[in-house]
Amino acid sequence: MMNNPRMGLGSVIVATVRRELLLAFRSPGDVINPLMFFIIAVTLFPLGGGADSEFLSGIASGVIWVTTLLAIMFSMESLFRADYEDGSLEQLLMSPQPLYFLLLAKVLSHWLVACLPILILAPFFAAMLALPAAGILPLILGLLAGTPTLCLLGAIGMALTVGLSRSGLLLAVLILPLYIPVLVFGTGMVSAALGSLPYTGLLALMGAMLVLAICLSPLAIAAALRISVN
Amino acid sequence: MWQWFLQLGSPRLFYSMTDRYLPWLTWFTVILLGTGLAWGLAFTPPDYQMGENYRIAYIHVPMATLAMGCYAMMASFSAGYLIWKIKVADMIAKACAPIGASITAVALATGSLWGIPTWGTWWIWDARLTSTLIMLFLYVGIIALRSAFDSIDSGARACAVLSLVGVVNLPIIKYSVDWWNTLHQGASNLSLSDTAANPPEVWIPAFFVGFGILGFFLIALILRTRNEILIRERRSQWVSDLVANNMKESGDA
Repeated sequence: MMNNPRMGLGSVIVATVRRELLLAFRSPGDVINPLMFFIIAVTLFPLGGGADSEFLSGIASGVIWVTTLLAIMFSMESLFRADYEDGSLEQLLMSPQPLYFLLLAKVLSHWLVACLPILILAPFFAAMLALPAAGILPLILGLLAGTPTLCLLGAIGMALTVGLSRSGLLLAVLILPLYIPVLVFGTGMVSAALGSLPYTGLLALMGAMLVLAICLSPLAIAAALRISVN
Repeated sequence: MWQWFLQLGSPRLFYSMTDRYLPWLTWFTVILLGTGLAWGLAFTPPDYQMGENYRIAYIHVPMATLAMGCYAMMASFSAGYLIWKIKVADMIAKACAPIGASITAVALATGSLWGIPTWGTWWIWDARLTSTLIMLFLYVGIIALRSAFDSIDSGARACAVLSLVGVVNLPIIKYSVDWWNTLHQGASNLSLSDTAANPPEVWIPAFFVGFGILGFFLIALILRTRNEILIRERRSQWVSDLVANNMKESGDA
């Protein structure tokens, strides 16, 4: 389907997203595991650090952000691994359609599958961690702007390591340093809001990072995939 | 000029050219480092606030500057390798990673040693310290990625892509961490660029040490690249000739 050169760009993107979503719902682990990881990891913090609500509210936004970031990193495996193993990644690279948009569509569907459920649950867990109500909206807006950037950056790391047999921890070493700006601005938004400061400037910066990531990262992903598939 | 540039792209010519220039570079470095260190560490007057402690700046500042410069260098050579497929460019980029990581580690360590007497703590989550630490992580990631590949060529290209991604991210990390710092604590004035307070007898030796350390960095880089050339070209005739020659010379002596 993707290999038909006469297909319009819009329908190619729709077809790619549909294929990815269909595949994801046929192996529900890809959808449920990142979410379960998020839920369990967030639960560990009050258990390990103490359930005192004053302490929890201080770390709440950091905990939500860090666990989201780790969940995205662990979920990256499902973005290219199966396609690499069954050869459909090669088909993707050989497709006459622009690879740039195919990769964006793949990452977008990955975001829908792996990040959107976390985003929906995040406010509840933020409330459970005693995050004051003023911090909930900036947390969600930040996650909305930041998680696609994280997916795009993670896809670069995954594309670089998909040809290696054991890439789990290597992926973490490669992409966690690149995740730092998103984490810093995302948690910064919440702290600004809790300090009654405007946070729209930070949100705009996160939006700028997202635009930059959308423009540049598919090029890096494509270059990395070509290296891995060789 | 172009001819010279192209010649450096051939591993064999790189090897013979550096053979010729390495002794000169070594002498320059020894002289610069020797004078600069002796002058800066022994003869420059102590600072009126920090006393003798400030002398660690003679090592710390050049190292911290070089840590960033080395990353830029690695990324440029990576780009050169990706664009023009110059093999030597990749060998230089490969040599940059461990040297850059060690330089960054030295910059952090000397900073910590300086921090104990002057700030009263060896680590604070200050913007500058944190972004340097993150740069160390980037270097480590590149070294880890290269060692994970069996094929030299794939590893080289993967590392080149990652280095370039890191270049895009480095300024973002820098500014994000600056932002984060100012949100959490007041800016502490750690700027070293304030040269007005430093008379020439303080910064001239720093100049000497700075170039000396740059020379030391280049020597280390060239030696590592030469090793890499010998390893990768070990099946070629000129390397076997070179080895045979060296064996004969050491046999004569």
